[in-house]
Amino acid sequence: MKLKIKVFLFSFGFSLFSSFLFSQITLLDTVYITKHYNQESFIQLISDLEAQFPIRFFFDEGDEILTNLVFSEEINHLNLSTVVSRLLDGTAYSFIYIPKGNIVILPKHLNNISNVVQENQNKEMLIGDVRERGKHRTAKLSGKIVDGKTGKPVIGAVVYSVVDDKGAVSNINGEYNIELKAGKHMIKYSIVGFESQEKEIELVASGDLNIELFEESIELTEVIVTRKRPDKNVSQAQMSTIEINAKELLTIPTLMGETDLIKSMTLMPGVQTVGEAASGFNIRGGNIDQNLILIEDVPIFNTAHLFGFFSTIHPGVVSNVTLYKGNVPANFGGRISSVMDIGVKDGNIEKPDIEGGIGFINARATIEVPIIKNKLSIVAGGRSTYSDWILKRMPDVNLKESTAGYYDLIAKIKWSINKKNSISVFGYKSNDDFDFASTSRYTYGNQLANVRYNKIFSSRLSISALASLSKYKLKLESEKYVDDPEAMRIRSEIQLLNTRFNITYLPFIGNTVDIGFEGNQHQFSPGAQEALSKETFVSNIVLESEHSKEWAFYISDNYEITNWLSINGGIRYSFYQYLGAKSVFEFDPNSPKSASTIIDTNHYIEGDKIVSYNNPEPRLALRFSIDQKSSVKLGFNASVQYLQLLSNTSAATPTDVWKLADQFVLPLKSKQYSLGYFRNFSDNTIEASAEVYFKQIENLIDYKNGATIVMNETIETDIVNGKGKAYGLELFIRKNSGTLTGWIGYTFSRTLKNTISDFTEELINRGEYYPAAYDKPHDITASLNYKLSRRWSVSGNFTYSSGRPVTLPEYQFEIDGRKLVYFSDRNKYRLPDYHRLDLSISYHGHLKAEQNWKSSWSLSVFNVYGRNNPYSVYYTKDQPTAANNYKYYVLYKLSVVNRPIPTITYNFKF
Amino acid sequence: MNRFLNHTKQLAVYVAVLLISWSCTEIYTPEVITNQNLIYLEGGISDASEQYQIQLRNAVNFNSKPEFTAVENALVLVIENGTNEYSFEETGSGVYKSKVSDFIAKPGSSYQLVIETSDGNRYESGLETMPVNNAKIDSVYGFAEMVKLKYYNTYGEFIVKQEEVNQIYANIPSANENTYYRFDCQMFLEFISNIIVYPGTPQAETIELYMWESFFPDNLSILEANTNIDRIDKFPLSHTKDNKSIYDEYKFKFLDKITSVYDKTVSDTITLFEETDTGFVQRDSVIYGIPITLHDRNYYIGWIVYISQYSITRNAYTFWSDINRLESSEGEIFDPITTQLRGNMTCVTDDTKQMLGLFEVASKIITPAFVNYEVINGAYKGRLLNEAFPILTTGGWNDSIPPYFWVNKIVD
Repeated sequence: MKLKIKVFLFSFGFSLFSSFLFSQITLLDTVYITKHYNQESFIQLISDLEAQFPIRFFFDEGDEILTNLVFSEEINHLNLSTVVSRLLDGTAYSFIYIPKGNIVILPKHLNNISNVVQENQNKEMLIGDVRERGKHRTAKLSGKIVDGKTGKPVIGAVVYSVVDDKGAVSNINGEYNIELKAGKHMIKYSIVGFESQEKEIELVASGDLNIELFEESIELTEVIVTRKRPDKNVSQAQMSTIEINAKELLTIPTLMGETDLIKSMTLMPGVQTVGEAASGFNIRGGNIDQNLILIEDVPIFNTAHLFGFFSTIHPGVVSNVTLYKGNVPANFGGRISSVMDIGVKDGNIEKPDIEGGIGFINARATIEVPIIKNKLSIVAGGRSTYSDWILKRMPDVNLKESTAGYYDLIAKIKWSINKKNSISVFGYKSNDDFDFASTSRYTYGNQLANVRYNKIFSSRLSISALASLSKYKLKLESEKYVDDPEAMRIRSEIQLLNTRFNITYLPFIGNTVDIGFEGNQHQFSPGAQEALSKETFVSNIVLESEHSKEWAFYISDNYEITNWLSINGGIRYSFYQYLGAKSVFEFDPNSPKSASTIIDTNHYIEGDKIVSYNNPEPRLALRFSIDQKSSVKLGFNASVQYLQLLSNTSAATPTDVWKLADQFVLPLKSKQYSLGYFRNFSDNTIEASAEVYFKQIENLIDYKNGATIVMNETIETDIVNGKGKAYGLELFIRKNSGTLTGWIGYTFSRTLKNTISDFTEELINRGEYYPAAYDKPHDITASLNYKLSRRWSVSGNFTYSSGRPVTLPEYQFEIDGRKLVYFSDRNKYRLPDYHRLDLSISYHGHLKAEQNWKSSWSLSVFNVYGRNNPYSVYYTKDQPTAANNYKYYVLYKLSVVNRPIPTITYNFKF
Repeated sequence: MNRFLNHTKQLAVYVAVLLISWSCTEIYTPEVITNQNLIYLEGGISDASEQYQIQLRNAVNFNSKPEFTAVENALVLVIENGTNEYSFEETGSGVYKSKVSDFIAKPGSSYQLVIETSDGNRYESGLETMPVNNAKIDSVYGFAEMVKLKYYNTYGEFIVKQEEVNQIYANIPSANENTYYRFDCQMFLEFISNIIVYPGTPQAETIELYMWESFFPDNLSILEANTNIDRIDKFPLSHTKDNKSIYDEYKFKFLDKITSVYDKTVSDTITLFEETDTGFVQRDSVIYGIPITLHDRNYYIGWIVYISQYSITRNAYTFWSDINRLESSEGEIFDPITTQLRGNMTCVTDDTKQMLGLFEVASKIITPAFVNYEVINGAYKGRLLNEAFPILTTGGWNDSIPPYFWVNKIVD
C-alpha cells in the first residue's frame, strides 16, 4: 500500500472530497467498531480495518511519524470516522474520504492547497492562473495519466472534451496535450481496462491536470492489446486495423487453454490460416511471409512453437498489439501484407509483481521488479513445456525415445532518466528442440535484442532511436545412425541488423508529422550440409551466404483538416542492394532455368553490388465523416518486400528457407485499394464496419513441380515468377462494453495467382490463374463473452470457412512395376468446409482489491461438437482387395483435432 | 535428406499425437474429374544389342479399379539423328518392339520417339542424345544394416518396420563431367545345402546341393554426379532381407522343389530311402517324397550381383527423380507441392492431350560382381567378376556339381 498523495492533490482536489465526506452518508458513518486497542501500531490498526471492512487507506509509507504512531483506547461501538479521527488526534495529520471506501491520510497543511488545481463552488477544477481569466481564447491542457495502482504511465488513454469534440491520446510516457477553447469543459479520461473518469474544469490558461486511472476490475491482465478512443474506428483516417481488447483476448477459448495472440487474431475478418496447427496467418490474400511481426520493434522470423501449435509470443509480457492489414503507416515497411506491432510492457516501477499460469502442457511466469523506484525497472517472462516428461511415459518406443520441447524467455529493462529521456534494452530468445526416436534432431529458435532511446524536446517534438538484432537458427542432424552413409547435419541461419530513427513533430493541434529512416542489413546462410559418417556419399556442401542492405526514408502526416475530413498520408522510399560475395549463375536465355542450362558463372567479391532496386511506397488514407457516428474511408497502400520465405508446403515448417531478392527472385510489390464505411451505435459501444479491398501483387513466386527447398544450390531453377490478385469484402460488428461483448465478422475473399514464363514447361496450370493454398472465399467468425456475475463469465467462438484448395491425385498408372498417381492441376479441388465451436467458462477469485494473491480458473472446450476439420489430404499405398476395388492407393483426410478438447488453466498474480 | 524430410512429417504427426492425441485420419473419397483418356508409355532404347520395347497403356481414374488397358494399333517409330527411321512392331497387346538386326542405338546420337495412336493423335518426344558412359563401378561390397521397410502385415495394413537387411554398395569414380545414372540390379543368392539321405542308417549319405535364388530389388537408384565430386563412395544400390529370413523363406521352397523333383525323377547319383513303420525302405534310385533334412548353418556363400548402370539424360534423371519423389511423398501430411511426373512426350496434334512416361535413351554397362556373405571387419567383402553369365532368374539347384556360373567364396 502506498500513498499517492501528490497524485491525488493534482488530480482530485481535497476540498472536493471533503465535501463528499461531509455531505454524504458513507462507510465512515455506517461502519461501527468495538475493540480494545492497546499499544496498537498504526500499521497494524489500519491493516485490521482493511481486513474487516471494504476500505482502503492511503498514506505515505515513508512518513516515520505516521508509521511509528501507536494507539491505545477502548473503542465501544464508535463509527469509523470517529475511530480514525481519534487515531489522528493530536497529530499533524487529517484524513479525507473518497467514495468506495478510500481513506487518504495526509498532513493537515496540505488539506486545502493545490498549486495547480483549485476548486470552485460548482465542483469544477480551475486550470491556470485565475488572474488570467479572459485573456486567452484557447489554452493547452496538459498532464500525465498513470495507473493508480502501479504508478506506471497509461499509454493510449483517450482525453476527450465533449464541448470542443476534440481528443488526444496519451503518449508512451502517459503524457497528453490538448488545445481547447478557454472556458468550461467536461473532460473524459478513458481507456479500456480502466475505470473512466470525467472532470469538469474551467480552463482559463494553460495548465496541468494529472490523472490516476484505476483498473476496471482486478482480473489478470495477461495481455493488454488495445489503446483506443471509443470512436476511434469512426474518427481516425486509418482503416483496416485490428485491435483486440485485453479482456476479450483472455476470454477467447483456445487450444489447451494457452492464450495465443496469433491464433486469436485469426478469428478476425481478413485474417486466415491454412489449418488448425499451422504457423503464421494470411492477411487479405498474402502469404505468411508477407506479415511483418515486430516484438518491441524487432522483426521475428519464426513465430511457431511445436510446428505451429502455439505462437512464440509470451502473452504475459505484451502491453499492446496492433495489426495493420491495409493502410500500413509509412514508418513500417519490408512486408507487403500486414504489420503486427507487439509492444512489451514496462516493468512495474513501484513494487514487484509476479504472475503466471499453469496449463495443460506448459507453464509461464512473468516478473516485474523496480530496480530503482520510479526510475529503473525490469520485466522478465518465460515459458516452458513439460512435454518431454510426458513423452518419457508414453508406451510407444519411438515416442519414449523422442523429445519435443520448447521454451521462450523475454526481458526488458527501462530506465526513465528523467521526465524527457528514457532508455530501454530488450532481449528475447526462443528455442524448439525435437528428437525423433533418437534418429533425427531438429533445433531451431529466434534471438532478438534491441536498445531504444526516447527523448522529448517539447510537447511538440520528440525523437526515438533504435538499434536491433534478429536471428533465426535451424539445425537438423542424425544422431543415432552416425555410421549411416546418409547421416548428415544441416545448419542454416538468418541475421538481421536494424536501425531506426524517428522524429515526431506536432506543428499544430490536429496535425502529427513523422519523419524517419530505417536501415536493414541481412545476412542469410541458407544451408551447410555436413556428412557425419566417414564412409558416405553425402557431400559436405556449404551454400553461399546471401547479403543485402536496405534503407528506407519516410515522411507521414496525420492531419485532421476539418471536422469532416482527415488525412493520413505518407511516402516511404526504399533502396535495396544485393551484395557479394557470391557466385551468380547465368542461364541460357533460350531454355528454362535448370542446372544444365547454366552457361556461365559470375563471381562477386565481398561487398560487390550484384543487383539493386529502389521503390517508392506511397500510403494514403482519407476519412470523410458523415456525422459523429459514421464515416467513409478510402485507402491506398503500396509496399515492397525484398525477401521471401521459400516453402513448398501449404503450412510452413521450420525447415523453410528465407531468400533475399536477387536478379531471379524479384522484389515483391503490392498495391492495395480499400474503401470502408464505419458506423458506431449506442454511444460507441457497438462498432460496425464494411470494407472492400483489391490488391495486386507482382513478382509472386511459386514452385515448379517437385521443387526442392532445402540445400538447393540452384534454388532459382525450382522457382517460377508470377503475379497475384486478391479482393474481398469484410463485414464486422463488435460490442465493446456491457455484460455481452464480442464480435461477429464475415469475409468474402479470393486470392488468385498465376505464373509467367517464356517456357510452357515452367508454367503452372498452363499459366492460368489458380487459387492460392489459403484461398477461402467465405469466412464467418463470432467471438462472444457474457458476464454472468462479477466472478463468472462464459465465452465462445464459432468459426466457419470454405475449404481450402488442394491438389488431388486424379489418375493411377504403372511404370517399371511401380504404382504411381498423376495429380490434378494445382489447387483444382477444395477440402471440405471448416467449422468449429469453442466454449469456456471462467471463475475469478480474490476480487478484493487489497488482496495480493489474485487468481482465476478457466475451463475451456475446444471443438465442442468434435468436427473432423481436415488439415490436409494425403495418400498411402493400400493392399489391393475386393473391398477397396483392388486399388493400390487410398486417400486419407487428416484432422488435427477431431474431438472436444477440455482444458483447465489456472492463472495467478501476486 | 529424404529421411530428414520424412521425419519432419512423422514428427509433426507424433507431436499431434503426443500433445493432444486427438488427431485422426479417415478415408477420403472425393470425386475427381478425369475427362481425357490419358495414355502412358514405358520403355526406351540403349546401346545394348537387344530388342527395345515401348509399351502403351491407358491410365485410370484414381477411384477406379486399376486395370490398365493396352493401347493397340499404334504406329511407333524412332528417328535417329533426324534421318533414319526405325519402326517398332506390335508384338503383344500394346507392346511394341524393335528388330535387333535392324537397329542398335549409339552413344552420341540423338533420337526421337514418334507415336501415332489409332484415334489420329500424334505424340513426339523431345530430341534425346544418348550419353556416353565414362565412369564404371570399380568396387562393390555390402553391410548388414537396419533399415525401415514398408510392407503389408497379416491384416492387410501397410506398416513400417525396422529390419536388418543386406545392403549392397558401390564405389564409382568421377566422370569429370555432369552425368546422371540409373542403376538396376539382379541379385542371385548362392548357398550350399546338404541333403542327408537315409538319416540314422549305415547307408546315410550327405549330398551337396548348389542352390541359388534370384531377386530383383525394386528400389530405384539414381545418381547425379557433377564435376565437383572426386568419386562416389558407398553409393547404395540394393538390399535384400537378412540371411536368416531368406533361408527360412526359401528352405521350404527348396525342399518342395527337391522332393517334387525326386518324387518323379530317377537319380544316378543319389540313393534315397523312405522311412516306413518297419524302417527305411530303399526306393532304388527313385525318390518319393521322403524326409530330407536341410542344415541351416554355414551354407551361405554370397551374392552374384549384376549391376546395370545406365548413363541417362538430364530429362530421364528428372523423370526418375519425380518417381522417387512421388513414392516418398506418399504419406506426407504437410500437403507439399505435389510432384507432377515430368516426361518427354507431347501431343503435337491436340495440346489438351497428354502422354505420361519417358522415352529413355541411355547407354548401358553391366558390371558383374560377387559379394561374400562372411562378415569381415563389419563388411561383406566383394569383388568384380569378369563376365556376366545368363542365370536362370527363377532360381534353381544343382546336385553335387556347381553350375557353370557358380562363384566360390572369396578367401584372402
